[in-house]
Amino acid sequence: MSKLFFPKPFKERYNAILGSETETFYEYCEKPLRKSIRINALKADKKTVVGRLEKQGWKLKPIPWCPVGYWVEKKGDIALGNTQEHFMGYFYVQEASSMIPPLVLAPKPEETVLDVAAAPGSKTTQMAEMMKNTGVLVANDPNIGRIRALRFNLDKGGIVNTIVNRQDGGSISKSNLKFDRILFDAPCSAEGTVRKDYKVLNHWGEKHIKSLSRIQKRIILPVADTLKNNGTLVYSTCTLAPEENEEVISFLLEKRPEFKVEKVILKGLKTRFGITEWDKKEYSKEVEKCARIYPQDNDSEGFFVAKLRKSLEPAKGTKVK
Amino acid sequence: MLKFVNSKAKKEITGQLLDRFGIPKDTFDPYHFIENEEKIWICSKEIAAIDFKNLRTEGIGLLFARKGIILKPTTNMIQLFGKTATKNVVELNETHKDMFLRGLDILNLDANADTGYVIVKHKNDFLGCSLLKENNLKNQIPKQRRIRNLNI
Repeated sequence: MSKLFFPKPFKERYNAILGSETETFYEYCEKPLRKSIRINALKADKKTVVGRLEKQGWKLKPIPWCPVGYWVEKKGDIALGNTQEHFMGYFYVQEASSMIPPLVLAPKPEETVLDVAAAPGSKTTQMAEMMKNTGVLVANDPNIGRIRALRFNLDKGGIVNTIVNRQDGGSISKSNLKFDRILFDAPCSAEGTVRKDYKVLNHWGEKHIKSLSRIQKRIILPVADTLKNNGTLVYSTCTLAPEENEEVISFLLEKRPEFKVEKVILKGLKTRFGITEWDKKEYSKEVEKCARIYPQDNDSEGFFVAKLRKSLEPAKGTKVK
Repeated sequence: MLKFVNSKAKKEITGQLLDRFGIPKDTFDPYHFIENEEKIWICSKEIAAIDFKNLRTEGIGLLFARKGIILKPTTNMIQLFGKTATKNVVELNETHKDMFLRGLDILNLDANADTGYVIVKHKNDFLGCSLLKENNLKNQIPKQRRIRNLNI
Protein backbone atom coordinates (compact mmCIF):
# COMPACT_ATOMS: atom_id res chain seq x y z
CA MET A 1 0.00 0.00 0.00
CA SER A 2 1.43 3.42 -0.99
CA LYS A 3 2.39 5.84 1.78
CA LEU A 4 3.02 8.74 -0.60
CA PHE A 5 0.11 10.52 -2.19
CA PHE A 6 0.29 9.98 -5.95
CA PRO A 7 -2.21 12.15 -7.85
CA LYS A 8 -4.87 10.11 -9.64
CA PRO A 9 -3.78 11.08 -13.19
CA PHE A 10 -0.18 10.19 -12.21
CA LYS A 11 -1.35 6.71 -11.14
CA GLU A 12 -3.44 6.31 -14.28
CA ARG A 13 -0.52 7.09 -16.58
CA TYR A 14 1.95 4.76 -14.83
CA ASN A 15 -0.63 1.99 -14.63
CA ALA A 16 -0.93 2.36 -18.41
CA ILE A 17 2.84 2.48 -19.01
CA LEU A 18 4.01 -0.16 -16.53
CA GLY A 19 1.04 -2.53 -16.23
CA SER A 20 1.82 -5.34 -13.79
CA GLU A 21 5.00 -3.59 -12.63
CA THR A 22 3.18 -0.54 -11.24
CA GLU A 23 3.28 -1.66 -7.59
CA THR A 24 7.05 -2.28 -7.74
CA PHE A 25 7.43 1.19 -9.28
CA TYR A 26 5.52 2.83 -6.39
CA GLU A 27 7.40 0.74 -3.86
CA TYR A 28 10.74 2.07 -5.19
CA CYS A 29 9.40 5.63 -5.45
CA GLU A 30 8.88 5.48 -1.69
CA LYS A 31 12.27 3.98 -0.84
CA PRO A 32 14.90 6.49 0.30
CA LEU A 33 17.55 7.13 -2.34
CA ARG A 34 21.04 5.69 -1.88
CA LYS A 35 23.68 8.39 -1.49
CA SER A 36 26.38 8.39 -4.14
CA ILE A 37 29.58 10.22 -5.00
CA ARG A 38 31.78 10.66 -8.05
CA ILE A 39 35.52 10.88 -7.50
CA ASN A 40 37.25 13.79 -9.20
CA ALA A 41 40.28 12.33 -10.97
CA LEU A 42 41.50 15.86 -11.80
CA LYS A 43 42.39 16.34 -8.15
CA ALA A 44 42.80 12.92 -6.62
CA ASP A 45 43.54 9.30 -7.24
CA LYS A 46 40.48 7.03 -6.97
CA LYS A 47 42.13 4.39 -4.78
CA THR A 48 43.45 6.98 -2.33
CA VAL A 49 40.06 8.67 -1.88
CA VAL A 50 38.23 5.37 -1.46
CA GLY A 51 40.84 4.24 1.09
CA ARG A 52 40.60 7.49 3.05
CA LEU A 53 36.79 7.43 3.22
CA GLU A 54 36.73 3.75 4.19
CA LYS A 55 39.26 4.41 6.93
CA GLN A 56 36.80 6.94 8.38
CA GLY A 57 34.08 4.28 8.46
CA TRP A 58 32.20 4.96 5.20
CA LYS A 59 31.11 1.92 3.20
CA LEU A 60 31.65 2.37 -0.55
CA LYS A 61 30.18 0.20 -3.29
CA PRO A 62 31.14 0.75 -6.95
CA ILE A 63 28.41 1.95 -9.31
CA PRO A 64 28.69 -0.54 -12.20
CA TRP A 65 28.14 1.95 -15.04
CA CYS A 66 30.47 4.70 -13.77
CA PRO A 67 34.15 3.85 -13.20
CA VAL A 68 34.55 6.72 -10.71
CA GLY A 69 31.11 6.45 -9.05
CA TYR A 70 30.35 4.87 -5.68
CA TRP A 71 27.29 4.37 -3.52
CA VAL A 72 28.12 5.48 -0.03
CA GLU A 73 26.56 4.22 3.16
CA LYS A 74 26.12 6.79 5.84
CA LYS A 75 28.24 6.66 8.95
CA GLY A 76 26.12 7.85 11.88
CA ASP A 77 24.97 11.44 11.52
CA ILE A 78 28.15 12.66 9.86
CA ALA A 79 27.64 14.44 6.55
CA LEU A 80 29.91 13.70 3.60
CA GLY A 81 30.07 17.43 2.96
CA ASN A 82 31.92 17.92 6.25
CA THR A 83 34.91 15.78 5.36
CA GLN A 84 38.39 17.01 4.47
CA GLU A 85 38.13 15.06 1.18
CA HIS A 86 35.02 17.05 0.22
CA PHE A 87 36.74 20.31 1.16
CA MET A 88 39.60 19.33 -1.17
CA GLY A 89 37.17 18.73 -4.06
CA TYR A 90 38.26 15.08 -4.24
CA PHE A 91 34.66 13.98 -4.81
CA TYR A 92 31.31 15.40 -5.83
CA VAL A 93 28.03 14.24 -4.27
CA GLN A 94 26.03 13.20 -7.33
CA GLU A 95 23.07 10.89 -7.89
CA ALA A 96 24.09 7.65 -9.63
CA SER A 97 21.65 8.10 -12.54
CA SER A 98 22.80 11.68 -13.11
CA MET A 99 26.24 10.24 -14.01
CA ILE A 100 24.70 8.50 -17.04
CA PRO A 101 24.26 11.35 -19.60
CA PRO A 102 27.95 12.45 -19.60
CA LEU A 103 29.03 8.79 -19.92
CA VAL A 104 26.72 8.35 -22.92
CA LEU A 105 27.96 11.60 -24.50
CA ALA A 106 31.60 10.55 -23.88
CA PRO A 107 33.36 13.91 -24.48
CA LYS A 108 37.06 13.62 -25.42
CA PRO A 109 40.07 15.80 -24.57
CA GLU A 110 40.50 18.91 -26.75
CA GLU A 111 36.94 18.83 -28.11
CA THR A 112 34.46 21.71 -28.08
CA VAL A 113 31.45 20.73 -25.99
CA LEU A 114 28.22 22.46 -24.96
CA ASP A 115 26.30 21.85 -21.75
CA VAL A 116 23.00 23.64 -22.43
CA ALA A 117 21.56 23.66 -18.89
CA ALA A 118 24.69 23.29 -16.78
CA ALA A 119 23.90 24.53 -13.25
CA PRO A 120 24.64 23.46 -10.58
CA GLY A 121 27.44 21.64 -12.41
CA SER A 122 27.46 17.95 -11.47
CA LYS A 123 27.44 16.80 -15.10
CA THR A 124 29.64 19.72 -16.21
CA THR A 125 32.39 18.81 -13.74
CA GLN A 126 32.08 15.16 -14.79
CA MET A 127 32.51 16.11 -18.45
CA ALA A 128 35.46 18.42 -17.70
CA GLU A 129 37.12 15.48 -15.97
CA MET A 130 36.44 13.22 -18.96
CA MET A 131 38.01 15.90 -21.19
CA LYS A 132 41.05 15.93 -18.87
CA ASN A 133 40.52 19.66 -18.29
CA THR A 134 41.40 20.45 -21.93
CA GLY A 135 39.41 21.70 -24.91
CA VAL A 136 36.42 23.99 -24.43
CA LEU A 137 33.32 23.24 -22.40
CA VAL A 138 30.67 25.94 -22.68
CA ALA A 139 28.64 25.67 -19.48
CA ASN A 140 25.43 27.55 -20.15
CA ASP A 141 22.55 28.41 -17.87
CA PRO A 142 20.01 31.24 -18.12
CA ASN A 143 19.66 31.79 -14.35
CA ILE A 144 22.17 34.04 -12.58
CA GLY A 145 21.50 32.53 -9.13
CA ARG A 146 22.15 29.04 -10.44
CA ILE A 147 25.26 30.30 -12.26
CA ARG A 148 26.78 31.32 -8.91
CA ALA A 149 26.42 27.73 -7.67
CA LEU A 150 27.83 26.46 -10.99
CA ARG A 151 30.93 28.68 -10.77
CA PHE A 152 31.53 27.67 -7.15
CA ASN A 153 31.41 23.97 -8.07
CA LEU A 154 33.65 24.44 -11.12
CA ASP A 155 36.28 26.24 -9.05
CA LYS A 156 36.11 23.66 -6.28
CA GLY A 157 36.52 20.88 -8.83
CA GLY A 158 39.65 22.55 -10.24
CA ILE A 159 38.06 23.00 -13.66
CA VAL A 160 39.91 25.26 -16.12
CA ASN A 161 38.34 24.37 -19.49
CA THR A 162 34.93 26.04 -19.07
CA ILE A 163 33.33 29.18 -20.37
CA VAL A 164 30.34 29.97 -18.16
CA ASN A 165 27.67 31.54 -20.33
CA ARG A 166 24.27 33.02 -19.46
CA GLN A 167 21.78 32.67 -22.28
CA ASP A 168 18.44 31.06 -22.87
CA GLY A 169 19.22 27.63 -24.35
CA GLY A 170 17.27 28.58 -27.48
CA SER A 171 19.59 31.56 -28.13
CA ILE A 172 22.84 29.58 -28.14
CA SER A 173 22.77 29.29 -31.93
CA LYS A 174 23.35 33.07 -32.13
CA SER A 175 26.86 32.49 -30.75
CA ASN A 176 27.92 31.04 -34.15
CA LEU A 177 29.90 28.36 -32.31
CA LYS A 178 29.82 24.76 -33.51
CA PHE A 179 30.21 21.87 -31.10
CA ASP A 180 31.60 18.33 -31.34
CA ARG A 181 29.22 17.17 -28.61
CA ILE A 182 26.23 18.63 -26.82
CA LEU A 183 24.50 17.68 -23.61
CA PHE A 184 20.97 18.98 -23.19
CA ASP A 185 19.88 17.87 -19.74
CA ALA A 186 16.55 19.62 -20.01
CA PRO A 187 14.58 21.43 -17.32
CA CYS A 188 11.75 18.99 -16.61
CA SER A 189 8.94 17.97 -14.26
CA ALA A 190 11.48 15.90 -12.27
CA GLU A 191 9.15 12.95 -11.60
CA GLY A 192 12.19 10.70 -11.32
CA THR A 193 13.49 12.60 -8.29
CA VAL A 194 10.53 11.68 -6.07
CA ARG A 195 12.77 9.43 -3.95
CA LYS A 196 14.91 12.44 -3.08
CA ASP A 197 12.08 14.95 -2.69
CA TYR A 198 8.46 13.81 -2.53
CA LYS A 199 7.38 17.47 -2.93
CA VAL A 200 7.75 17.11 -6.70
CA LEU A 201 4.36 15.39 -6.52
CA ASN A 202 2.80 18.61 -5.12
CA HIS A 203 3.74 20.44 -8.32
CA TRP A 204 2.89 17.54 -10.60
CA GLY A 205 0.24 18.14 -13.26
CA GLU A 206 -0.37 17.25 -16.89
CA LYS A 207 -0.68 20.93 -17.82
CA HIS A 208 2.76 21.55 -16.35
CA ILE A 209 4.19 18.58 -18.28
CA LYS A 210 2.75 19.86 -21.56
CA SER A 211 4.12 23.35 -20.92
CA LEU A 212 7.60 21.93 -20.22
CA SER A 213 7.37 19.80 -23.36
CA ARG A 214 6.76 22.97 -25.40
CA ILE A 215 9.83 24.62 -23.83
CA GLN A 216 12.01 21.56 -24.49
CA LYS A 217 10.89 21.47 -28.15
CA ARG A 218 11.57 25.20 -28.52
CA ILE A 219 15.13 24.80 -27.23
CA ILE A 220 16.18 21.52 -28.85
CA LEU A 221 16.04 22.69 -32.50
CA PRO A 222 18.42 25.70 -32.25
CA VAL A 223 20.65 23.63 -29.96
CA ALA A 224 20.75 20.79 -32.52
CA ASP A 225 21.71 23.29 -35.23
CA THR A 226 24.93 24.15 -33.37
CA LEU A 227 26.19 20.55 -33.58
CA LYS A 228 28.94 19.74 -36.10
CA ASN A 229 28.33 17.10 -38.73
CA ASN A 230 28.93 13.63 -37.20
CA GLY A 231 28.63 15.21 -33.76
CA THR A 232 26.73 13.65 -30.86
CA LEU A 233 23.80 15.15 -28.97
CA VAL A 234 22.57 13.64 -25.72
CA TYR A 235 19.14 14.67 -24.49
CA SER A 236 18.25 13.68 -20.95
CA THR A 237 15.67 14.41 -18.26
CA CYS A 238 14.99 13.19 -14.74
CA THR A 239 11.35 12.61 -15.61
CA LEU A 240 9.47 9.67 -17.08
CA ALA A 241 6.71 11.64 -18.81
CA PRO A 242 6.67 10.65 -22.53
CA GLU A 243 5.67 14.22 -23.53
CA GLU A 244 9.01 15.48 -22.19
CA ASN A 245 11.02 12.59 -23.54
CA GLU A 246 10.13 10.50 -26.60
CA GLU A 247 7.80 13.23 -27.91
CA VAL A 248 10.65 15.79 -27.88
CA ILE A 249 12.99 13.37 -29.68
CA SER A 250 10.31 12.45 -32.21
CA PHE A 251 9.74 16.17 -32.83
CA LEU A 252 13.48 16.69 -33.42
CA LEU A 253 13.65 13.74 -35.85
CA GLU A 254 10.71 15.12 -37.80
CA LYS A 255 12.16 18.66 -38.04
CA ARG A 256 15.81 17.65 -38.44
CA PRO A 257 15.93 14.37 -40.42
CA GLU A 258 19.75 14.47 -40.40
CA PHE A 259 19.59 13.18 -36.79
CA LYS A 260 19.54 9.47 -36.02
CA VAL A 261 18.98 7.85 -32.64
CA GLU A 262 21.69 5.51 -31.36
CA LYS A 263 21.28 2.87 -28.65
CA VAL A 264 22.34 3.74 -25.11
CA ILE A 265 24.58 0.98 -23.83
CA LEU A 266 26.44 1.23 -20.54
CA LYS A 267 27.87 -1.84 -18.85
CA GLY A 268 25.89 -2.77 -15.74
CA LEU A 269 22.99 -0.39 -16.43
CA LYS A 270 19.50 -1.78 -16.96
CA THR A 271 17.44 0.28 -19.41
CA ARG A 272 14.06 -0.07 -21.15
CA PHE A 273 13.00 0.78 -24.68
CA GLY A 274 11.49 4.17 -25.45
CA ILE A 275 7.72 4.42 -25.83
CA THR A 276 6.46 4.89 -29.41
CA GLU A 277 2.84 5.73 -28.65
CA TRP A 278 1.27 7.85 -25.92
CA ASP A 279 -1.94 9.81 -25.41
CA LYS A 280 -3.20 8.94 -28.91
CA LYS A 281 0.03 10.23 -30.46
CA GLU A 282 2.37 8.05 -32.47
CA TYR A 283 6.06 8.83 -32.25
CA SER A 284 8.86 7.93 -34.66
CA LYS A 285 9.80 4.23 -34.32
CA GLU A 286 13.40 5.44 -33.87
CA VAL A 287 12.62 6.60 -30.31
CA GLU A 288 12.49 2.96 -29.26
CA LYS A 289 16.32 3.19 -29.12
CA CYS A 290 16.09 5.80 -26.34
CA ALA A 291 16.65 4.60 -22.77
CA ARG A 292 14.02 4.74 -20.01
CA ILE A 293 15.31 4.05 -16.54
CA TYR A 294 12.77 3.33 -13.82
CA PRO A 295 13.68 3.59 -10.12
CA GLN A 296 13.30 -0.20 -9.70
CA ASP A 297 15.70 -1.00 -12.58
CA ASN A 298 18.93 0.05 -10.88
CA ASP A 299 17.67 1.21 -7.46
CA SER A 300 18.24 4.83 -8.56
CA GLU A 301 16.23 7.88 -9.60
CA GLY A 302 14.05 7.64 -12.69
CA PHE A 303 15.77 8.93 -15.84
CA PHE A 304 15.49 9.23 -19.62
CA VAL A 305 18.43 9.39 -22.03
CA ALA A 306 18.54 9.73 -25.82
CA LYS A 307 21.74 9.63 -27.85
CA LEU A 308 21.58 11.19 -31.32
CA ARG A 309 24.08 11.54 -34.13
CA LYS A 310 23.95 14.22 -36.79
CA SER A 311 24.76 12.92 -40.23
CA LEU A 312 24.38 15.27 -43.17
CA GLU A 313 24.09 13.06 -46.24
CA PRO A 314 25.81 14.71 -49.18
CA ALA A 315 23.48 15.58 -52.04
CA LYS A 316 24.41 13.97 -55.38
CA GLY A 317 27.58 15.43 -56.84
CA THR A 318 28.41 17.56 -53.79
CA LYS A 319 30.80 17.10 -50.90
CA VAL A 320 30.06 17.76 -47.22
CA LYS A 321 32.55 20.29 -45.90
CA MET B 1 37.35 44.19 -19.09
CA LEU B 2 38.78 40.67 -19.43
CA LYS B 3 41.75 40.11 -21.73
CA PHE B 4 44.12 37.26 -22.50
CA VAL B 5 47.55 37.75 -20.93
CA ASN B 6 50.37 38.04 -23.47
CA SER B 7 53.51 35.93 -23.24
CA LYS B 8 55.57 38.69 -21.56
CA ALA B 9 52.97 39.19 -18.82
CA LYS B 10 52.60 35.41 -18.45
CA LYS B 11 56.35 35.18 -17.81
CA GLU B 12 55.97 37.82 -15.10
CA ILE B 13 53.17 35.87 -13.38
CA THR B 14 54.95 32.52 -13.55
CA GLY B 15 58.22 34.22 -12.51
CA GLN B 16 56.61 35.51 -9.31
CA LEU B 17 55.32 32.02 -8.50
CA LEU B 18 58.76 30.53 -9.15
CA ASP B 19 60.45 33.08 -6.88
CA ARG B 20 57.97 32.79 -4.04
CA PHE B 21 57.00 29.11 -4.10
CA GLY B 22 59.49 27.44 -6.43
CA ILE B 23 56.69 26.38 -8.78
CA PRO B 24 58.41 25.55 -12.11
CA LYS B 25 57.41 27.93 -14.90
CA ASP B 26 56.61 25.10 -17.29
CA THR B 27 53.81 23.92 -14.96
CA PHE B 28 51.71 26.54 -16.74
CA ASP B 29 52.75 25.77 -20.33
CA PRO B 30 49.46 23.98 -21.15
CA TYR B 31 47.39 26.98 -20.05
CA HIS B 32 46.51 30.57 -20.87
CA PHE B 33 45.93 33.36 -18.37
CA ILE B 34 43.14 35.95 -18.49
CA GLU B 35 43.11 39.12 -16.44
CA ASN B 36 41.25 42.25 -15.47
CA GLU B 37 42.46 45.08 -13.24
CA GLU B 38 42.18 43.00 -10.06
CA LYS B 39 42.26 39.30 -10.83
CA ILE B 40 43.89 36.58 -12.94
CA TRP B 41 42.18 33.43 -14.21
CA ILE B 42 43.74 30.30 -15.73
CA CYS B 43 42.13 28.42 -18.62
CA SER B 44 42.78 25.71 -21.19
CA LYS B 45 44.70 26.77 -24.31
CA GLU B 46 41.82 25.94 -26.64
CA ILE B 47 39.62 28.62 -25.04
CA ALA B 48 41.82 31.31 -26.64
CA ALA B 49 40.55 30.26 -30.09
CA ILE B 50 36.88 30.90 -29.21
CA ASP B 51 35.01 33.87 -30.66
CA PHE B 52 33.35 35.43 -27.62
CA LYS B 53 31.53 38.15 -29.59
CA ASN B 54 28.03 36.64 -29.35
CA LEU B 55 28.37 34.91 -26.00
CA ARG B 56 27.17 36.32 -22.68
CA THR B 57 30.17 35.21 -20.69
CA GLU B 58 29.92 35.08 -16.89
CA GLY B 59 33.30 33.46 -16.27
CA ILE B 60 36.25 31.76 -17.94
CA GLY B 61 38.44 29.08 -16.39
CA LEU B 62 39.46 29.07 -12.74
CA LEU B 63 40.15 32.10 -10.54
CA PHE B 64 43.93 31.85 -10.13
CA ALA B 65 45.20 34.84 -8.16
CA ARG B 66 44.43 38.36 -6.98
CA LYS B 67 46.73 41.17 -8.05
CA GLY B 68 48.51 43.44 -5.61
CA ILE B 69 52.07 44.40 -4.82
CA ILE B 70 52.56 40.64 -4.83
CA LEU B 71 50.26 37.95 -6.24
CA LYS B 72 47.85 36.29 -3.84
CA PRO B 73 47.07 32.75 -5.07
CA THR B 74 43.53 31.45 -4.53
CA THR B 75 42.61 28.36 -2.53
CA ASN B 76 41.50 26.62 -5.73
CA MET B 77 44.79 27.42 -7.50
CA ILE B 78 46.80 26.01 -4.58
CA GLN B 79 44.69 22.86 -4.48
CA LEU B 80 45.44 22.31 -8.17
CA PHE B 81 49.09 23.37 -8.47
CA GLY B 82 50.38 23.47 -4.86
CA LYS B 83 52.01 20.06 -5.15
CA THR B 84 54.60 21.51 -7.54
CA ALA B 85 55.83 24.04 -4.93
CA THR B 86 59.25 23.60 -3.30
CA LYS B 87 59.40 26.51 -0.83
CA ASN B 88 57.26 28.60 1.49
CA VAL B 89 55.08 25.58 2.12
CA VAL B 90 53.83 25.28 5.71
CA GLU B 91 52.89 21.82 6.95
CA LEU B 92 50.20 21.73 9.63
CA ASN B 93 49.71 19.13 12.31
CA GLU B 94 46.30 17.51 12.87
CA THR B 95 45.05 20.11 15.39
CA HIS B 96 46.16 23.09 13.32
CA LYS B 97 44.75 21.53 10.15
CA ASP B 98 41.32 21.21 11.79
CA MET B 99 41.51 24.87 12.87
CA PHE B 100 42.51 25.85 9.35
CA LEU B 101 39.59 24.01 7.74
CA ARG B 102 37.23 25.77 10.17
CA GLY B 103 38.56 29.13 8.99
CA LEU B 104 40.49 30.01 12.15
CA ASP B 105 43.84 31.81 12.33
CA ILE B 106 46.75 29.89 13.83
CA LEU B 107 48.89 31.82 16.29
CA ASN B 108 52.47 31.23 17.41
CA LEU B 109 53.21 28.70 14.70
CA ASP B 110 56.75 27.50 14.32
CA ALA B 111 56.77 27.78 10.53
CA ASN B 112 59.88 27.41 8.42
CA ALA B 113 58.83 29.96 5.79
CA ASP B 114 59.28 33.60 4.82
CA THR B 115 56.80 36.30 5.82
CA GLY B 116 54.09 36.71 3.20
CA TYR B 117 51.74 34.36 1.39
CA VAL B 118 52.45 30.70 2.03
CA ILE B 119 51.04 27.40 0.81
CA VAL B 120 49.41 25.40 3.59
CA LYS B 121 49.48 21.62 3.47
CA HIS B 122 48.54 18.63 5.59
CA LYS B 123 50.20 15.36 4.60
CA ASN B 124 49.53 15.16 0.82
CA ASP B 125 46.63 17.65 0.81
CA PHE B 126 47.48 21.14 -0.37
CA LEU B 127 44.76 22.97 1.52
CA GLY B 128 45.12 26.56 0.42
CA CYS B 129 46.91 29.86 0.85
CA SER B 130 47.58 31.82 4.05
CA LEU B 131 49.35 34.98 5.11
CA LEU B 132 52.28 34.33 7.45
CA LYS B 133 53.26 37.26 9.63
CA GLU B 134 55.29 37.10 12.87
CA ASN B 135 54.61 33.36 13.29
CA ASN B 136 50.86 33.88 12.91
CA LEU B 137 48.99 32.27 10.05
CA LYS B 138 46.08 34.37 8.84
CA ASN B 139 43.38 32.19 7.34
CA GLN B 140 42.41 33.00 3.73
CA ILE B 141 39.90 30.20 3.10
CA PRO B 142 36.73 31.72 1.60
CA LYS B 143 33.80 31.60 4.03
CA GLN B 144 31.67 29.35 1.83
CA ARG B 145 34.51 26.78 1.63
CA ARG B 146 35.10 26.51 5.39
CA ILE B 147 33.89 23.43 7.29
CA ARG B 148 31.98 24.55 10.34
CA ASN B 149 31.13 21.03 11.59
CA LEU B 150 34.30 19.24 10.69
CA ASN B 151 34.25 15.44 11.00
CA ILE B 152 36.96 14.41 13.43
